[in-house]
Amino acid sequence: MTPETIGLLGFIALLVLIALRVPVAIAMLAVSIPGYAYITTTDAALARLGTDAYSSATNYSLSVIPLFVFMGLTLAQAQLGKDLYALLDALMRRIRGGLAVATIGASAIFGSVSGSAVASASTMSVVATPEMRRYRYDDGLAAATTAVGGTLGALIPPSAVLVLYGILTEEPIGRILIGGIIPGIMTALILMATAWLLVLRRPSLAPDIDRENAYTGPHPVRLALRAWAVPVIFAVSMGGIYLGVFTPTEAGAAGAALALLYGLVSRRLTWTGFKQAVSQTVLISAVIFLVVVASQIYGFFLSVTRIPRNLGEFVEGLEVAPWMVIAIIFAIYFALGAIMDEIAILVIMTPMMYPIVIGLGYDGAWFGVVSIMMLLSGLLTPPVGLIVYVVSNISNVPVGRVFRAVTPFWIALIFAVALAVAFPDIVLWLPGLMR
Amino acid sequence: MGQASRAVTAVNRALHYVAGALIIAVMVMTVYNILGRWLFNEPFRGTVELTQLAMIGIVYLGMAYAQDNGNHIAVDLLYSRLPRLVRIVLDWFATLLSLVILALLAWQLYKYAGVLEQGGRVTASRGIPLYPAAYVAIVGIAAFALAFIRGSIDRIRAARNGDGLAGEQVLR
Repeated sequence: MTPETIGLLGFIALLVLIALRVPVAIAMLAVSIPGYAYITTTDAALARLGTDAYSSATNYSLSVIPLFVFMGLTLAQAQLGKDLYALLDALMRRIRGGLAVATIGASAIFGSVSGSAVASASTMSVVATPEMRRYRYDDGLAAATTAVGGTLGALIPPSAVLVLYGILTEEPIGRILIGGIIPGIMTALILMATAWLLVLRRPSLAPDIDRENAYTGPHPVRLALRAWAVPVIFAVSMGGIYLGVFTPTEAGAAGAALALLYGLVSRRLTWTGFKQAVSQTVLISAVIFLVVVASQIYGFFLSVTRIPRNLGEFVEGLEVAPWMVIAIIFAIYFALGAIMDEIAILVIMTPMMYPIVIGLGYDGAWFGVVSIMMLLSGLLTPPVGLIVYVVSNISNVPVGRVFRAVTPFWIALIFAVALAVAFPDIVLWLPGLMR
Repeated sequence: MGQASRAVTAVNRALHYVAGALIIAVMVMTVYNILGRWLFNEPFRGTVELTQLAMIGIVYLGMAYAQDNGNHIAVDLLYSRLPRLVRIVLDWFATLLSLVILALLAWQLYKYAGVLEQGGRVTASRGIPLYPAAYVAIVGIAAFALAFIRGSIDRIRAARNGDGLAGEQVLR
């Protein structure tokens, strides 16, 4: 059998194992080790396993992930997520459907730090759904906005998924993180506008309660004074990367230390909260690291099958416009997104797609940011949009209803992707200004 | 077995706090290095290599507890629609396959530790030997394997009592 055949069989076996509920990382290793051994030698495959298990873990860039995740979880434990939500709610209360708009905004900010779209959607759903029910918002809209807001977390930096893409492709992580800022804000605004338009068209979604007078919470200025730490810490860590005074790891460490300092000085971080933040950080990181270790060996296996190179040459030989290729790749991501977690798709597909996209002359950081935008829309679509199930589970809104309510939002997400494909500067402008 | 099961969880929990302590240590060291560089023009020597060594612990010591909590990425699409008996079989298949892979990993890491030790490989700046970190990884992988075994036995037991199997309560 040719290496290409082995690669193809390996890929099919990988999908079968994953479908049988073998953990994704284990499935990648179970396919890569024998595949690599068949093409090279058993000794070479086993030796590769030992060195890669060591060297992939000692990759300095990996340290970015736990530090940023810890920063985010510490801020969340200091109750800043709730403050942000209250602030956005207070600001939006004059707007019809303002609570839905605020939910997306707050989940975007909160989710950016939690590392997983599924994790952040489930966290926000607990906070935001009861609030929207209290104001008699439509159940479908309430669930849809938490689901959509959660997906944004994987896009807006510091996002663990963006860092993961950088590790998989060896693209500079600082550039990718900075590149995610404008698309993240743009996508959040597009989704917030979508929620607003939906309520405008069908006012029954959000009842006409005089929320301005019914509002009894603190004044927005007081709320802003409470939530100031989030933008300041974001500015210090991202600004540090942007200006080149911090490496991404240093930005993560500085951000985490500031978050901890804030929690201690403001006395809003309890010992239990601190322990929770540490524990959750380890768990979220461990999940990502397991697939990182596996993806290293899987990447080597794929490269000896010569599939990525041949695929790249094949695509270059085709007489089609580059944007058509991008459209096909994203159609595949979209389809897979209905079945798999965004992290799983990223580690399985990136080693194959990245060489094609680079061969077509696209920028690697751009492809990372836009891929992740695309993967998010897949998480919201039937038959299996993962986030929809999670949110439906927590909020007790029937799955079918959430899928229907979420449809305008994933269409809006694809619109955002189309914008970033048509105008790559949306991603590349900020990184282009660095140093 | 109930007691053994609890003991496994206790160990895995402890290991994940070791990983957490390493993250805090990396944070403190990195900030100390930044401040030293800015204020006294004297960076903390070997920050990068110490971070790299700590990462081995951070990467491997948390995996077992993440398994105990059902965090690792798996796809339930097909599985959750299969009959109970098939699910029990698949559950054991996934566990056995995982054990084989983890055993291979641990074995090769052990061999690689030997290579690192015999080669006298040390970090560039502080001259810290590299091989002990490989043993830390092996400890994490061993705990991870135990978490798989414990999980499968617990789920079989729960299934016999009519409770849920993996993937019935949570999606990942």
